[in-house]
Amino acid sequence: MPVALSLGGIVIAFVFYKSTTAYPDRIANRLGSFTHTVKNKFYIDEIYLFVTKKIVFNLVGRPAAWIDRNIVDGMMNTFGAAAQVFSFSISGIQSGRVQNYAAYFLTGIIGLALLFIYVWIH
Amino acid sequence: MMLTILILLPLLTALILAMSNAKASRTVALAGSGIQLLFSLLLLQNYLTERAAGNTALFLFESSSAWFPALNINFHIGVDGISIAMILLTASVVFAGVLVSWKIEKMTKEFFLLLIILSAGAYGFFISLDLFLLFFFLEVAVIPKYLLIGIWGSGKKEYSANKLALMLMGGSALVLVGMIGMYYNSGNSFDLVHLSTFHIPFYIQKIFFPFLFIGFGVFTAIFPFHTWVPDGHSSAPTAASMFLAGISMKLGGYGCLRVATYLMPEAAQYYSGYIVLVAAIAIIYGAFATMMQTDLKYINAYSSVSHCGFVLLGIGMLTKTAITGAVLQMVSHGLMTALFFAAIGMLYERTHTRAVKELGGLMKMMPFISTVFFIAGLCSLGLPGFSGFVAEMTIFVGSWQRSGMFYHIATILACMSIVVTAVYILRATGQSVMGPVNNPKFLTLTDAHWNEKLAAGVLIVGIVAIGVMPFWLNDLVSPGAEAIYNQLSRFALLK
Repeated sequence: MPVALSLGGIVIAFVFYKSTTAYPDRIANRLGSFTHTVKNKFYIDEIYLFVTKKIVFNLVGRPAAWIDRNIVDGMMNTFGAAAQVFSFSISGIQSGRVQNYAAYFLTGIIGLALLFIYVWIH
Repeated sequence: MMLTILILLPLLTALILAMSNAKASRTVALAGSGIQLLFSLLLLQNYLTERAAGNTALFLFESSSAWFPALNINFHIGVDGISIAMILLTASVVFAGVLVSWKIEKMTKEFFLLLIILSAGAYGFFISLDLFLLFFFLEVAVIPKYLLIGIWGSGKKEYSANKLALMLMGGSALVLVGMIGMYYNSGNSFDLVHLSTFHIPFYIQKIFFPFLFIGFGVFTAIFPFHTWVPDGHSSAPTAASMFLAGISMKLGGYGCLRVATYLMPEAAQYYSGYIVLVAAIAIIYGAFATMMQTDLKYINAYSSVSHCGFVLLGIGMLTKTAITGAVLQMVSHGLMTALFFAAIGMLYERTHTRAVKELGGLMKMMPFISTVFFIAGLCSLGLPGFSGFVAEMTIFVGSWQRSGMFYHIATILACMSIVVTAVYILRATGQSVMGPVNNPKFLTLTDAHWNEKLAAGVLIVGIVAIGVMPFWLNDLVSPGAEAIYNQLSRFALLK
């Protein structure tokens, strides 16, 4: 059935195309907006461009690219920046002053001693 | 012995390169990588001969010698069909990479030296049957990339090199934690064969599987740890981009499969839904993000995120066909993306731009390069006759075999992404090489030289060989995929 319809359409189109009478034009005018739609290939190209450019590109592609650059990648960069800030904040510990190191050492020893005492008592 | 030679060949090439001058280094690198390619073909032939003779062992050409006995670390190597496929891929991409870098002028010797060391790392990784050895080679395949991008790169090269190295090392750190977790819960063993027979308690698997899978996943651009890919690929010199996308990202996929899934089968099943979810996001999100890119390298980099999502999807689905498809996709994407980057490099070398809008009409002046560009694009969008179609179709079929509404929806979404891929690929290729010539300066440009033709030829042969006759690769990797599937069935959680 579909093949028969297609072949019928092709034959009619060929006859109209070859015809030298005004009959095909008259039919086309009578069909009005349908002829116009067919002439514009059912607006398939326009629909395709509208869907891809206006909807997919603007509403999906652009936000996805923006989110990737600014949020996902931004999150990774934030981790890097946080590590830098943390490193800078503890860089003072490496002062090079022996007195400071001795103080840290003593604090550690006292802390450990207190821990052992606590464990021993309990 | 053959596998030891496979490792020694690039090391010997590197040694000769270190002793040669800049002028001779090209020839040495080409000869070395050419011999590696021929040797990998010989390895394939020997492997097939052994199989035809009835050798049904999972790993062939196995050898083991003590490396660090105190920690039970051994130089244990061996290959199955999956490893052989990855070795062939590595050899092809490195050979093509050397050829497209023929005109490198800056520190030529050092450039080729690092490229060859990278290949040694990749070969070592794919043949390791000891997790510590595997980790060692994984690291060998990371460090030279930092130097290749930092020294020979373009654009924000320092930023990109730092980002890539730090993120990949972060991934390595996760892998290391996962490995140590397995080591202490398996009678102190890093041996892959031993670990595959040892049942690690399920609660331990649940703790350490995410470390291993995400760690290796960073290499294969698992969402949201994929952000090193666009910057790293776009700043890297052509051969490094080819290696990064063609091989480096496959190290991750191979690790997810061979180490995480194979050795922790129960956890793989427990987490499979999450893996599929992340993979589906990467496929769709990567494809849509690609659509808005205007730089050819960024287009290929983002599309790699999407394509590697297929690898993770295949692994996450846990069916035999899907796992086979994941391996096919690794090989296919490796060849295709290397070809794409090679073509982009050839165009950039002549036009000095990668902006799609500034290109146009290049087919008239550069028919060969433009055709290569088109072939890479058509393979990327999964056109029948090229490897991309075979790999993606196998993943779709395998994914559909996994029962459950969630898995079917993920499969449908992955299938739909092909349409998005077609939109950005046809747009990029059409605007770059078809239509009128946008810049009159392009009219004097010349087409590919012998080295570029040979590089493209090697990769295209691989793509077409898989696309037209997929059975040879399918037969090669199927037993390995089946072993992983059987391991999953042995410790079946999900019916």
